Amino acid sequence: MHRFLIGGIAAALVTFPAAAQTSGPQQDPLDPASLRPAPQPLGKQVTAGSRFNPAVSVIIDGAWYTDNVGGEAFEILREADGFSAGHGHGHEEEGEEHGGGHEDEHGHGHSHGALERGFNLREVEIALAATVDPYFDAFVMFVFDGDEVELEEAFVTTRSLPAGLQAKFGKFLSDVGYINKQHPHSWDFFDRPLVSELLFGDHGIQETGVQLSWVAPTAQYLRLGVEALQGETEGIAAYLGAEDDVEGTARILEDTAGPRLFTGFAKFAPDLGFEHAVQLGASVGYSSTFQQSIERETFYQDHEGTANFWGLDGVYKYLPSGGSGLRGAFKLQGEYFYRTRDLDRRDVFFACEPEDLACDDPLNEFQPGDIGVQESFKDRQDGFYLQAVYGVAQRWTVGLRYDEVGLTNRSGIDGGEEWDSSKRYTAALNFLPTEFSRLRLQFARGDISVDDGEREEYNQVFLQLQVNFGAHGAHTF
Amino acid sequence: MNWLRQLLLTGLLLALAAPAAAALQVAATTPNMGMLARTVGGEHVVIDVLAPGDRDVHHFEARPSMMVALRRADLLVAVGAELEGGWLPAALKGANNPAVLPGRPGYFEAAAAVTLEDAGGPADRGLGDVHPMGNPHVYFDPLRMGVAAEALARQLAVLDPAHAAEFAANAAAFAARMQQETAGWRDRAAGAPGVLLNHKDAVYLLRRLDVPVLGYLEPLPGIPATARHVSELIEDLQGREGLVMRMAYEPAQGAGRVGEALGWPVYVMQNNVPIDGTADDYVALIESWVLRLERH
Repeated sequence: MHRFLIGGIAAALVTFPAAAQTSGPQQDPLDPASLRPAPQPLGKQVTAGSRFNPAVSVIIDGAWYTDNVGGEAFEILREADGFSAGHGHGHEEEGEEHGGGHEDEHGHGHSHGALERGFNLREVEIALAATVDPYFDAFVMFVFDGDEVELEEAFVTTRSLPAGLQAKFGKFLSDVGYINKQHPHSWDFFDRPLVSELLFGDHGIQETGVQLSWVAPTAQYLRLGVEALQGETEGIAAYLGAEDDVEGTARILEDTAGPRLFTGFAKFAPDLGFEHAVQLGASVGYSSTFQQSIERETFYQDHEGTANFWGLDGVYKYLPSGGSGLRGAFKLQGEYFYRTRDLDRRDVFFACEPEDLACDDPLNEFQPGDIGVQESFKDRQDGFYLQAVYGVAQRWTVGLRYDEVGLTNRSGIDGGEEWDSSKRYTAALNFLPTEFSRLRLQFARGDISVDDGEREEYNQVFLQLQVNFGAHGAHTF
Repeated sequence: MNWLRQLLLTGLLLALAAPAAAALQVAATTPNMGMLARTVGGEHVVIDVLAPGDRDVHHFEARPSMMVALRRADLLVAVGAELEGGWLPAALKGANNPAVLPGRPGYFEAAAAVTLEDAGGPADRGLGDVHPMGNPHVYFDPLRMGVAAEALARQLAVLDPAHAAEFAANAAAFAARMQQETAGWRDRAAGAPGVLLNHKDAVYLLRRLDVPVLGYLEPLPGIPATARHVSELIEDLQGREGLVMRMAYEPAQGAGRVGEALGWPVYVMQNNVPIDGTADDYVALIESWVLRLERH
């Protein structure tokens, strides 16, 4: 054995002068001493991370856009029956909706995804991530969106809770469903699924609050979590607070303290080996306050009540053995959500009705301060999407998506209304030169139910370039 | 007799560890790292491998099964130096297990236990998927694996002091075996004409064996071979002897073109032991490379 070793060393020394990368010219190429660094502390990680500075990453996301309806596709979508508060309630006049959180003026909606025809810089994301101390990690993301800067997320997570527990505090994207907590740069399509946008809002469920989650010590992945959130999400927890009385008549809207939105989620993933992976999820939510105020021509139509939702989500991924890059990779993903709102309505007049008479005319039906319609009703809406992405080459993928919202689409308002569903068909071709850049060509066809039963159709084309630079973090499943 | 002595020794050690501690749960990022933990930890470790060896570890992604393994792990054994940067941080974040976070005794990366080649390069992604802290593919160097085994033994000793001596002995035996085998491999590979690789990974092995690396099919790290780059390689290497060696998961096209144009053999190689591989499998893995090199 020794003879062999020495012989080998001798032969190596004779045949080869010395390993070039080592310092001493006479060094034994088989002596591992030079490979040992100075003594290391346990758990040391070699990283390019810049010591105490947070890891910074920047995402630039721009698109060229056009549609065949004069740039109105996004507005058509916002008028979808059953999902637009100021519309589709059987009233002739168009109301101006005030929901909590985001107040979009018609036509100039500042909302994620609303593009002008031509070139758009959809957003620039700047994310900072760091470990605060042995107990906390922190993450902050700003989004420059047109002229505005928004705080997309700013949260702290624990890193030392025992027993598989983790707590999260701050403003964050809820873990409800699958796509809700993904940032736009992780999506497989340019835009958010309709069910997420119309049932919840432009940002999905993005709230300030706390989350507690637990990873079970099981052989199959099981994660359970609950969230207590302030409650500002447009579609399920819109909040306005108390509004001033009109001529001594109180409005139905009241101040309520947060947290007003509570959610729970479960995620389960059986172990299917290295090629296949599946994750199934279920989630529920309850909002103790849902408030809307629609300003009609002569009265405020106020809604106040509660809302709840439940949903199911699933994702399946296939990564072929021996695959190179994305070739042959397949991903199937879908989510379903069902939302119920249990609302009281009270209309309060701030002007005379009808308007063509003098205000003190005894023939006037309503005077300022009068109460009009009072009723209690339920809204029920749902929606789902199903999408598939397939890697056709090492750096190319194609994606197909089907969206439908309003399979259940009824409201008890004004004695009961029921509307058709709205649909969207999407196809995308992605080119990913590296993991840091992506070019996408996307076609979408919308078939939207508007104005109580009419259908509006549109076609959209997106050509998107997305890059990320800096210390971009890993994406979770 | 040897097995009897080992058995007695093990029995003695087990007896000494009075409340016989259960085996340490180890999550290894790759089969090679699993091999290392198995070799050093012996029967005192139970190993989950997070990513298989049949694909590019750069392009893997965080999966729930990894979080399950990390959730129950006492020790994470990674290659490190950000090789697993695309998925390990996310998997760790999803596992809610503070014991295996970087900086804790439950976190081990081989790259931190050895010196790295090509350290200090520019941190500029215009140059591809670069690793300015140094080349992370240390599992391709048998001597570095020996050194890493010794460091792993010291770390295992912290987590399971009762078996410290055994871990140290296992690691020393592995390191000695790597030294001895490397001497033989260097002999056999002597005179190999040089190798064209796809990625800058097996460079650790080839340098160890003093076999020249003639170039890379990737124009820049992480960028797949382009027709133009392949043409340039063919032009540059015209008239030379050499061989093309690519991993089974790496694209065949560019490698095939170079092999055809230059009349070089193209070999499809592995870079990992099987999932439950042992030190013998690691030796066999390196042997498979030496076998291709020595025939020239």
